[in-house]
Amino acid sequence: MMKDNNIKLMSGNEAIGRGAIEAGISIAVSYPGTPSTDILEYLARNFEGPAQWVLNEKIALETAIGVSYTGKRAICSMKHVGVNVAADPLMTAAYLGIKGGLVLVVADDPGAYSSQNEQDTRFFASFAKLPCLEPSDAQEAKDLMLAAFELSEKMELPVILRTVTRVSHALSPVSVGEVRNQNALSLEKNPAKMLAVPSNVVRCHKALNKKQEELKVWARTSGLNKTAKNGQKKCIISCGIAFTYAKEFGKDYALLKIAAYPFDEKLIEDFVTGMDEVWVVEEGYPVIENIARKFSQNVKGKITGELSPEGELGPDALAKHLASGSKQNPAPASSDLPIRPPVMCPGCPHREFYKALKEAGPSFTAGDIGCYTLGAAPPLSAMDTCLCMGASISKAAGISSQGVKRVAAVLGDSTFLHSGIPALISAVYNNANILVVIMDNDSTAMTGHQPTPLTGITAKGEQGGKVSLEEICRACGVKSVEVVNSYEIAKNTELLKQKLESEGVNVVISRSPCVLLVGKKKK
Amino acid sequence: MSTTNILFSGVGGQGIILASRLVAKCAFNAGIMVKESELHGMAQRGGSVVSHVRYGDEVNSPLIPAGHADVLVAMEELEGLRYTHFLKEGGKVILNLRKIPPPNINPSTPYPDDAPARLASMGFGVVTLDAMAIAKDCGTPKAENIVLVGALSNYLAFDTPLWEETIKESVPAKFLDANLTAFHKGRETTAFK
Repeated sequence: MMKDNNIKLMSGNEAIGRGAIEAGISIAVSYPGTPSTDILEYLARNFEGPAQWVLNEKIALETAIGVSYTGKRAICSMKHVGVNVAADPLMTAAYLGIKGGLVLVVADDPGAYSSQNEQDTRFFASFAKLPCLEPSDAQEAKDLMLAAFELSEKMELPVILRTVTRVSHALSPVSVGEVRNQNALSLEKNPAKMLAVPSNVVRCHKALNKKQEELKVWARTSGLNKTAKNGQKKCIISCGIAFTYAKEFGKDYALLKIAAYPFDEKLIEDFVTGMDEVWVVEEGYPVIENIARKFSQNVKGKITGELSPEGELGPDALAKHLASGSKQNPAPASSDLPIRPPVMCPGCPHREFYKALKEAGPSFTAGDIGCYTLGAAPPLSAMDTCLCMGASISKAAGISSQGVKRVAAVLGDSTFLHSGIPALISAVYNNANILVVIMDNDSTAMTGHQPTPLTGITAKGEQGGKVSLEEICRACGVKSVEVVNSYEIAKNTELLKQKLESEGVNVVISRSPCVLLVGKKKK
Repeated sequence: MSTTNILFSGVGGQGIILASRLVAKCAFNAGIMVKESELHGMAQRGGSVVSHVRYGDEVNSPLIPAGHADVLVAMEELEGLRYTHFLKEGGKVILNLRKIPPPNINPSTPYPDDAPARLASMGFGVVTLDAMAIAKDCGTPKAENIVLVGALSNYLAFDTPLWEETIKESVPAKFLDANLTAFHKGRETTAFK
């Protein structure tokens, strides 16, 4: 590798952001979620136009679709489970189509290092009948962003770029290029392609189906799905990060790398025909393996059990199977070592508040997603269930509907804004008897202190509109809204005991800034 | 050149990402192909963390396969023992003499008090140092990670000016002098036995 001023050392997420800038985007919009968060953070620092945190992934995608209607390009980024929240606009945007290029970047988290599941976004892409591109390193991430925007405008479809933790959070050299001009503003009314009403649906679905063949032709002519075959009788099909593992340990194997979906299955058929050994190596669910099994009896992978269908694949499984002669340290890791799970920071306000909540003794505590989820671990053991963003209030209301008394819901300020508000209104509307604790630490702390509308500071560090948590709760119809200092354990215990016994929906806001933010401000 | 593999391990919040990125940047500044892989975000705080750095003519996987690490830089004793399976036979360990017992430790798995001896008995070359004490002498305990990079630098083929240039572009200007001193103090540590 030669030193060159146009080559920078970048993470996959930075390269995705850089690719969006070079593609001439007019907006970047996102909700924080590891491992996708730093895409928007990079764009907030480096893109001159709007880069916005919005309240959830559905809003992010809808905002991007609105921008696309103006003829301009938009990037929308989120973590894999965010697509569940954004699925409603996604599925139908595929039917209607878009105008300005729209790329939805989704960061999957195989191994669930900081997630509640390991779902594979390639299934969402095929469910929505949308194209999906998959990079294996930072350079490809940047290059595929440019290709994705071109494809999006050519096909008038949103394009999904699927990354994973080990692409997003890995640094490697990236060649930086020219920035394309932004598209001109051209907002025109086009009911046939903008109104998802019953009279349009079947026709739009037909148009989407017709595009599938064109997408396969594009995948073939793009050259992104590459074959390296030289008379071998054994082969590896891989994609994304798994391709780097295949390349490392599959030196004697013919290689097929998939980077563009959907593709013509004949690609797989031609590649595996006559092969005695066919490895399918993919990080995530066995998407390609299912196709390969149609054409070969000799497939080895996650379905056949050679590779684990759960957890992160990583390079070691391939080293074991493909390079048995490779040097391995015979000494396994010590098994008698104490574990070290992540913990709440020293001085964390959540911990102090949990002490009071434990003392007050709810019968059941429905939790949510954020730093405060760490309170589920001993010795606090202050949370009995955690499912997905915003589920705490609805689950608590469900439990309370069966006559269970003293039920609590615990969620953070950002999670409440993300998807807790409709649940709170539903609980009030249906006369639930629950205590709702909102842990307000002045930021989206778990993902690295992104600001929220409660602070009124935007992603770019500018002054935006500011909203009040207490006022929202009262406007949702909650009669009892109390704000407390998280550190006053005795006082909070008394209040929580009283509120657990009270009828109706009672909100207690535990308010103290994240201790790390306090530290930063002192500096 | 063949691939050099360096694994950093420690406790989330110890500055492991800055250290591994510094080494990656140094290789990058030397014009060598490099990949660095890390886990970041508050989700890792206080937990066991690792970062991988790989450089050479051709680097594919950003993760070091088990049994392939040339050097393990352990910022904490327990976290040094936890990742020995990454090391190649006879690999090297730079062990920071720092014990951070996890909270709520299970009595059946006590905190190991014999990390240097255990690592040596596994056939690894071990060099130990108290990076925190050295960093404090340099004016900032936060440079603990840079002291360890200094110790590591003895075993990598990058010259001092390149390290200094890389440190300069990686740390805030007001902490530059303390970090440069920390790097050199670390570099002065004894060689592997």
